[in-house]
Amino acid sequence: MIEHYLLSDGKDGERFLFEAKMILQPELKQQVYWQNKTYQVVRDYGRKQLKNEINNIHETLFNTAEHQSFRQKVMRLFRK
Amino acid sequence: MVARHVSKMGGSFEEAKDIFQDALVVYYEKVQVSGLKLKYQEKAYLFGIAKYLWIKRYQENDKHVTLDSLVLIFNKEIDLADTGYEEVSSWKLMHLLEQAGQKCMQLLSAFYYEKLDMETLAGRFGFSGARSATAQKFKCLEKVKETVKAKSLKYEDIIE
Repeated sequence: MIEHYLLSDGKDGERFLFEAKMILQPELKQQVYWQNKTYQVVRDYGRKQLKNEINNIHETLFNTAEHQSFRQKVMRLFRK
Repeated sequence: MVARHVSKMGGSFEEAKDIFQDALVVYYEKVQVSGLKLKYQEKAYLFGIAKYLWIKRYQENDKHVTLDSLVLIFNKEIDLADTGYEEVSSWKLMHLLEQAGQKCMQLLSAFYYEKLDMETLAGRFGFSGARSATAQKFKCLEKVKETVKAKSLKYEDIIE
């Protein structure tokens, strides 16, 4: 299966066989290409969500009164 | 710690913020993907990554280093993600998918990015069980794949 090929990193015989199949079947190769691209998009999406979450935490840390002393401590490092 | 380092190296607050946040992402992905066994404290890893990111950024004359090139370096094996990420269209594409298929994207990213198992996935998304979560995940993957394909073909004339 394509997913198994793309997401496992084993260098087993199965993998080799799959690669041989791709040479013989161009449409399989295309399917693999699109599936891989889809994984990339999903990963980018996940990454973006994570970055959003991190940024929310950043906003909380740097823009709320209760974390002011932390903020000041950090900002002091950048005062030249 | 990261902020102090960046500041010592002449960086700004914004740069420190970027570096720190990127380091968190790289760290998260590393632990997630390889199940990296921690021999030291988390913050030691984070600081190590951040230091590396800073050097990297500095070397490339402030040219912004993408997370991808970094993850690539951190991975010893071949990263499947190394093709075509820089294409402008992939961001357009994502924007589109965020609009049209939010639910599917959340489901797929929970499985492929957060690496949750099907049971947990079913719980989070309100499916009756692992089996129906699996079915839904498969449907979503097909659906998103079709969108990716349809939209990409407008930008690319030749598929390798």
